[in-house]
Formats: sequence, structure tokens, C-alpha cells
Amino acid sequence: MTDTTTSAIYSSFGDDPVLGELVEQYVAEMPDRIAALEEAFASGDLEAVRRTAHQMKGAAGSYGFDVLTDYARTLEFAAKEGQDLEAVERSLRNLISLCRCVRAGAPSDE
Amino acid sequence: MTSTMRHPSLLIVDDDPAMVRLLASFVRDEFGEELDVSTLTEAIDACQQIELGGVDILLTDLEMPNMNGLELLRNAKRRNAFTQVIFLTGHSTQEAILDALENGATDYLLKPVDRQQLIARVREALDRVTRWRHALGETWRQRRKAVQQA
Repeated sequence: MTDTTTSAIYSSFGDDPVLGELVEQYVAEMPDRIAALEEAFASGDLEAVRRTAHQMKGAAGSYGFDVLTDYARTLEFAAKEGQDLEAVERSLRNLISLCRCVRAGAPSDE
Repeated sequence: MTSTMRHPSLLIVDDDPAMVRLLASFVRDEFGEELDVSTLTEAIDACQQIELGGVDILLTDLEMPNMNGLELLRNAKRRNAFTQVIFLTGHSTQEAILDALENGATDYLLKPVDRQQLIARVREALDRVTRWRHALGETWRQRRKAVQQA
């Protein structure tokens, strides 16, 4: 788990007629989550970083974005430890890179 | 005689609104009017709701700010011993799970949540609620009959 992809990431149930709308909303809110992570880190609030990472660890996979789960877990752990700020920042950047790739719908929609 | 018994209630509590939306959608989609579903993102609000009216099934995150799911679990069981509590956790540590089960949790689900597992756990909890209600209703009817015959 070193490099993060730059290609689009789709939910495993992005084309579900009922859940697709929820996935759309989750994806639409992603910039807010990214901003929350960046702001928390910039202000040195590692507990807020950990908290947001913890939420993403639980929710992203539940929304069918399984690939985000391990990266969120890594960031949660690094922020909880809090001793190696470089490790926290590296994990944060990796997670954010992936977050920027999430898309609503299914690949065939594009 | 028509039954006026209300639908069993399910309260979903998680500090992540996205998680609450998803869980509620899964449950409403599967159970429809079988369950009266409500949602909250603050454990303290959930505690107040439970104090005011009780709840038949509580589906709660274990780790939340201000008040954790374990405290909520204890409050819910204190208010109504029949409340079925399913807790959600991202941690699979034996200590966390045992702690919740020892405090009266019915079951647990690991995050990320699998839809089918969630439905199965809620169905089991609903079946237990229904059986308890039936047993209590039967006891009450027998007691009333005995009073009327006395």
C-alpha cells in the first residue's frame, strides 16, 4: 500500500437504482471531507484528523469504496500515535489522492 | 378486536451522517412499515430519546464523541430490559466486543457494514422483539381475565 491510483474509483453498487443516489451524495460530500482533513492537519489537530479518518474507514467501504478503507485505517492509526508527523502527512496525502478519484455511478455511465 | 399495537421502533445512532443515511436506507428498503425507523447523529440526543420513550431495537456505533455506544447501551437496557441492541464497530478487538456483550448487547456488526449481514441481524432482533411482545401481551391478557373472573 504505497502508491495511490489516479484513475477513477467507482462504488461497487454505484449503479444500484436505490443506493446509487446515496453514493452520489457521499461522493458530492467528499470535497468537504478532504477539506476537513486538510484543515485539521494544518492546525495540528490530530484528534480531528483521526476522527475523520475513523469515519471514512467505516463509511467508505460501506458505500462500496472498499479501496479507501485500508488507507483511512492507516491514517487513523498514524494520527492516533501522533509521534511521526511525516507518517501522518504521508498517509493523509495518500488518502486524499484516492478520495479525489471517487466517482458516482458506474464506469459505463461516462 | 382490532390491534392498536404500534410498530416496533428502531433507532440508528452514528456520529457520521453518511453512515446513518446508508443504514437507514438499507433498513427501510428491507423492512418498510414493519419498523418505525428514526436516526440520530448525537449519542446524547439518542440518550434523551430513549429516556423519553424507550426503543425496541437500538443500532448504535460504539465509538462516538461525548458519549460512547457502551453508555448508550447501558441506558437503553436500564430504560427497557427488552431493548435489543446491535452495535457497530470498526474495531474487532475481543475486549470491545466482550465489553458490549457483557453489558447486554444482542449482537454486533463490523464496519464496513455488509448489507445482508445488517438485514439478518435486524431481522433476528425484530423476531425477538415480536416474541417478547407476544409473551408480555399474553401474560397481560391472562391476568386481566383472572381479574374479571374473580
